[in-house]
Amino acid sequence: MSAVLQIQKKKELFDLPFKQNELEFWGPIDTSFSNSFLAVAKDFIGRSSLGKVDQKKVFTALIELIQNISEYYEIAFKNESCPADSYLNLKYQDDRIEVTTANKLKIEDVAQLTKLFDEIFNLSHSDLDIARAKAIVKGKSLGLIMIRRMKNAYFNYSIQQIGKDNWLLFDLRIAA
Amino acid sequence: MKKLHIEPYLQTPEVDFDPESGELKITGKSYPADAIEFYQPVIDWCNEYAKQAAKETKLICEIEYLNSASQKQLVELLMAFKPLHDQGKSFVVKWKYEEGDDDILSVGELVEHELGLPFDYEEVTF
Repeated sequence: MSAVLQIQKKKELFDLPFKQNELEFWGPIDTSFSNSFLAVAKDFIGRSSLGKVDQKKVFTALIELIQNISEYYEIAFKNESCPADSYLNLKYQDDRIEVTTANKLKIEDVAQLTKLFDEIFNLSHSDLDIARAKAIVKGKSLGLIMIRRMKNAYFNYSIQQIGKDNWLLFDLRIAA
Repeated sequence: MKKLHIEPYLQTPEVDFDPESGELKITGKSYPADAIEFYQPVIDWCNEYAKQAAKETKLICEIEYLNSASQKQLVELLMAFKPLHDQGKSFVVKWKYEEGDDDILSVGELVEHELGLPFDYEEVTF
């Protein structure tokens, strides 16, 4: 039995609320957790009605997003006594999948990341190709550039201040 | 020079490099969080191999999933073969990609363009 089905069976058994088409997590995300989540998510995405190539697209994008979060978490919050929570949500409906991620940012990183993301998200399609060629040989942000280049996809980001904390949110929707 | 063999794991591919025949194969998934940790020994092996390469070298890449960190490491790995090609020795990359997977295909095309190494493409079913 697949990992997702096993979890859903358990939730049913204990009468816990669940949505069959949604996978959600709230908590600290380090490398070890991201590896585990990816294993479950691969199985989950495989249950959507998207074709195999589109499923691969979603999963590849998810790898980039979650590995970025875990890497940032381990660098920025390594020495924090209170672990920084992050949020992951995958949802499929009809012929599309939505991925939402949110993770806390250090205040000192906000300006630099805003500048970086503004640059990437303002690139035209042809500029994206140039940026990708630079990034694959010697550069950064290849993962985000890869997602931005995906066809039939909506991908956006925002940095929001909620209470005292700053959050980075990504929103990805891929349709068949 | 010894053969290099690494068993596939959850997020890392199988590596099967035979220095005598010159057939070097990377197969499977490649999306480890720390791609450098995985690829550095493989790149080191390739750098050594390039000094005493077989008459013909064929690097077969048959990768199903490829994260950005692995893409960068593959570029580093392929750069090890650039001197071979530049010296006129026989070297080709056989880039196998899943049917309809334009993303993996385009990674091959981009690396071919950036490094100027010869690539053969083949659509396969995983």
